Formats: sequence, structure tokens, C-alpha cells
Amino acid sequence: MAGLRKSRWAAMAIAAAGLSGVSGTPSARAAQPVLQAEQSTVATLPTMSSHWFLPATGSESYTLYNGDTAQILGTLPGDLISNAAFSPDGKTFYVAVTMWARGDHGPREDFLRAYDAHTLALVKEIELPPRALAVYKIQNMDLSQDGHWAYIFDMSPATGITVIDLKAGKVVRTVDTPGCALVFPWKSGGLSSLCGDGSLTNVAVDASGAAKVSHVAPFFDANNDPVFEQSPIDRHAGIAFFITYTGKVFETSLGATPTIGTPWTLSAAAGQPVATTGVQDVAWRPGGKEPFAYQRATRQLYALMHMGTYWTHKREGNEIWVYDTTAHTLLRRIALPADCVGIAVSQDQHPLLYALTGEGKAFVMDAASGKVLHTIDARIGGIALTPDL
Amino acid sequence: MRARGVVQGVCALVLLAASAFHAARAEAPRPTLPVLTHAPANYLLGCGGCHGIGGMSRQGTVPDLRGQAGYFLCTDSGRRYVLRLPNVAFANLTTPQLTELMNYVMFTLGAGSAPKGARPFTEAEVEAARHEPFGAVSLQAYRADVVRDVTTACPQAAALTDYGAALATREVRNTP
Ligand code: HEC
Repeated sequence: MAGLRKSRWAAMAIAAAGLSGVSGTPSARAAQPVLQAEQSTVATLPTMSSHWFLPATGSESYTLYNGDTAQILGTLPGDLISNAAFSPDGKTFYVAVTMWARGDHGPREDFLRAYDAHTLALVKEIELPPRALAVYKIQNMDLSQDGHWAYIFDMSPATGITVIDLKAGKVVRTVDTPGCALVFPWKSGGLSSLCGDGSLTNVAVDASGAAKVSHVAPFFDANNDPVFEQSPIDRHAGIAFFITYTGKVFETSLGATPTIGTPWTLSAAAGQPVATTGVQDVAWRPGGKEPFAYQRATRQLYALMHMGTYWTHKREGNEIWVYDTTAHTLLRRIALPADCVGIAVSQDQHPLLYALTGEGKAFVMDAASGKVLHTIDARIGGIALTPDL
Repeated sequence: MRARGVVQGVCALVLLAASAFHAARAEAPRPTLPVLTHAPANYLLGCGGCHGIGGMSRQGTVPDLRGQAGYFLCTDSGRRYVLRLPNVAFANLTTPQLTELMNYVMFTLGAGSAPKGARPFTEAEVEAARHEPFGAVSLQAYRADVVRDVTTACPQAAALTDYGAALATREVRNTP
């Protein structure tokens, strides 16, 4: 609604300007220079940079920004329930979408769209089985590091994974993952899903697209201190940081037989009292819509933190805490200019940190100093993607 | 948030009670509100979202339980199948609560479908099965096998095949 109204205002402003041009006096008109006819061209984007970022904007699009300049590079269609991903080589954007013939009912179609990252032209659409629908859940879809496969979480409501061959442009199979959800890709050869009993299901996908499923014993308490669905990953190393609501971090090397590290705790690593599951225990805790980001080059974990009791895991954060994931120590605390619901970080040696408010703003910061370089106020949603080149 | 929801709920109840009291003095006494016993309440909270409040949901998307769930008691593999389903085994309920719930699903919700003389689930049976939830299996293929045996033992259970057939049209080469 707000968007429609805004564009109508813009159209009206242009019409008014046109009218005043026509109503000028004859002498004023004579003094005007002869205008050259405009040549329209189609702009193309330069090679993808690590400093680009792609926040969800409004409820119908993702907008591509250059983080260095805070300027818009382009727009991709994608609503609240779509999933976007950058191809690892930076040449393609993928957006998984679901539509109904009559808007909110009628025959349903699910498909994966591929856009050329240079021209933003829609180059391919791949039909999909019904995928899981959730508002802005980045972990619903991911790609293999070699760019060959896309993995999409299904919940029909039987749970499974759709394996898509991106080179051939077609779905190769559905793999059942009973009681397990979401996609955490390995370094190569498959993905894992989080299960409702606190375990992981591991789906190995070989070069032909054949799948083999294995299972590990439960390692977290799914009923009393579950891990965030938004737990961050290092795609290049195939490592997931499964983080519980109280801030316990299980560093997990993903694979057919994952290795799950001894947990460390965000609050304790910061020298703070350990956050418990107490409903009256006020402590520093992670929370938000996209509360974590992992920076591969520096091996640092960024967590959006707030003071609250247990079960405030969706609350906005007012600080970002940065951890050394090798030493399990707090490196710095970054106070935010406003409460934020999501964070993201670039994957290069001089990272930019993005913090998103629930009310349309994004702060682009120098990740090392926490200095705010730009503030963008443009209907930014609670999540953003960064390329991992 | 949760706490506030509860507080608002309590306020609403107090208001209701107050107005009921008021009305009771003015008019004839009202019938008392229905009180759900444990099993139907646990069903509504943990299962009804998918299976529908009366055990019927979107056909072909979620299997019907009404007048149908008890068919699985026709075979030993059917008995174990329903207890090993992740939504059942992982339910945030104690084993006695889950046993009561599953017997409600089989014999009350599924009324008319359990074969004559079918034994109710015991706590020991539920406890053992919920520790072996389905994991690394194709649940679609597993269910198809179970349903084949069940419909052989109890031909009246033929409707159980509908869900599997509908699922097969959506999934792609989902083989073990
Ligand atoms: C997320 C949706 C969902 C929830 C919640 C759920 N179920 Fe199910 N249930 C299914 C689906 C889908 C199947 C089909 C088998 C499968 O793929 O899991 C099923 C199968 C069953 C079956 C076997 C029926 C058949 O024909 O295969 C029974 C019995 C059952 N569920 C009972 C329950 C009970 C009891 C609960 C609550 C404790 C529950 N379910 C919660 C989705 C759900």
C-alpha cells in the first residue's frame, strides 16, 4: 500500500513539472536551449564485489546495494516467502518463488529463477516441487560451493529436501528428511538439516545426484534450549555454528559424519553471567530475525545481543558482539545507533558490517571499528544477503 | 509477550465470568462451557494444526485420521509406524501423556477403524518406539510398505493409499 501510494505521488510530481514547463511565457521559451533527444541505454553491472549486499526491501523485492557508496545497483523481484542466493562464482542470482494463479489461491506453482548478475536479466526458470514457505528464512535454500546443486527445504508438511541440478536446469530428486528441517551445506557433497529431537540428518549428494542419508545422535535439547534456525555457517569450510537460545555455540564440521565441538557460551566468553533458561533470568542474549553473521577471513562471529529473559530470542538487539571463534573470546562490543533485528557481514579482508532496523533502515559500518559509514533509509527488511566469493 | 498473552487471556476469562454471573442473575442459568480432557487438548495443541481439529485436513496433503487412524493397528508394523513418526515421537509430552493421546487418536478420532479386539498402546510400547524415530529412511517408501501390509490384513483400509499416491505426484524420484 505504502509503495503504491508513494509511486502515485512520484507520478503526480512529474505531471506537475511538465505542466509548469508548458505554461512558460513565449520569451522565456525562446531563451531555452535546444534539448537533445535522450538516447536510452541498458546499464550493466560491474563484476560482483564482496562489498555488495542484498537486503529484502518492502515486501516485493530485494535491492542490490554497493556497501561502499550506499548506492542502489539494481532490484530483484522476491516477496516475503521467496529465497534468494548468490552463486558462489558471483555470476548468478537465484530466487526461489511460489505463486498461486489467483494471488492467494488457485493452482500453485513453485520455481527457481536464475538472473544474470551482470544484466539482471531473467535467464532460466526451473519448476520445483512445493517448497517450504516461511517469511524470510535464508536457511530454506542454499547452493553447493561448486555451484552445481541447489538444495531447497520442503515441508508439504512431510519434510524433505529438493536437490536441483543447476547446470542441467532441473530437479533431480526429493530426499525425505523425517522430522528435520532447513539446509546447512557442507564444504562439498551434501547438506545437513536440523531435527526436532536435537540431532542432525545428513544428506550426501554424489556427482550423479544420488543421495544417501545418515543421522547423528541428539546433541542439543530441542524442547528446552533449542538452536537458532538462523545459525551461521562458513560455506567454504563447511562449518556451522549452531547457537542455542541461551547462547551455547556448537561448532560443527558438517559432513556424512559431522564432528560436533564441545559448546562454549556467548555470555561466559564475554565475562558475563551465563544466560540460563530461567524465565526471570535477565542476561545478555542473542536475538532478532537474523541475529548472527560469520566472517570467514577473520574467523569472527558477530552476534546481535540484547538484555532479556529466556524466550526473548526474537527481540531486537542494541549491541553487536564480535567473537574470536578459535579462542572463544569476546573481541569487541559495537553499540548500535538504533535497535536492530538483523545483521550481515561482508566476506573480504576489510569487512563491512550491516545492521538492519525493524523500521526500514540499514547501517553500513566498518566491521573493525564499528564506525557507521552510511545510513540507508529505504524500506529495508530484517534480513540481508552478502556474496561469499 | 507470552506472559502478556496469558494475562490478557485471564482478564478476558474474568470478564466472561463476570458477565456470565451477571447474566445468570438476570436470566436462566447458562450451560457450562465444555472442558477438554488431556488427550483432545494435547491433540489440538500438537497435532490439529496439520491434521485438522477433527482429524480431517487438506486431502492428499496430510493424511486423514478421522475414521482411519485405527487401521494401522491391523499389523505390528503399522502399530510401530505411527509411534515412530517424528511428529509423534518428538511431541513435547511425557510417555504416559503420549500413550493416552495415541489411544485417543486410534480409538476415538479413528472410531470405527481399529480392528476388532485391537489392543490399546501400552506406555512401554510407546516409550520404546519413540526412542527409535524415523531418521535416515524414505518415509514415503516406508509408509507405502506399511500400508500394503495393512490393506492386505484389513481390506477395508484401502483409503490409506490415497495420501501416498498424492505425495508421489509432488515428489521427484524419492526412492531409498
Ligand atoms: C507438521 C504437520 C504435522 C503435525 C504437527 C503432526 N502430523 Fe501426523 N502426519 C503428518 C504427515 C505429513 C503425515 C504422513 C507421514 C509423514 O510424512 O510424516 C502424518 C502421519 C500421521 C499418522 C499416520 C497416518 C497415515 O496415514 O500415515 C498419525 C497416526 C499421525 N500423523 C498422528 C499425529 C499426532 C498424534 C500428532 C500430534 C502429536 C501429529 N500427527 C502431528 C503431519 C503432521
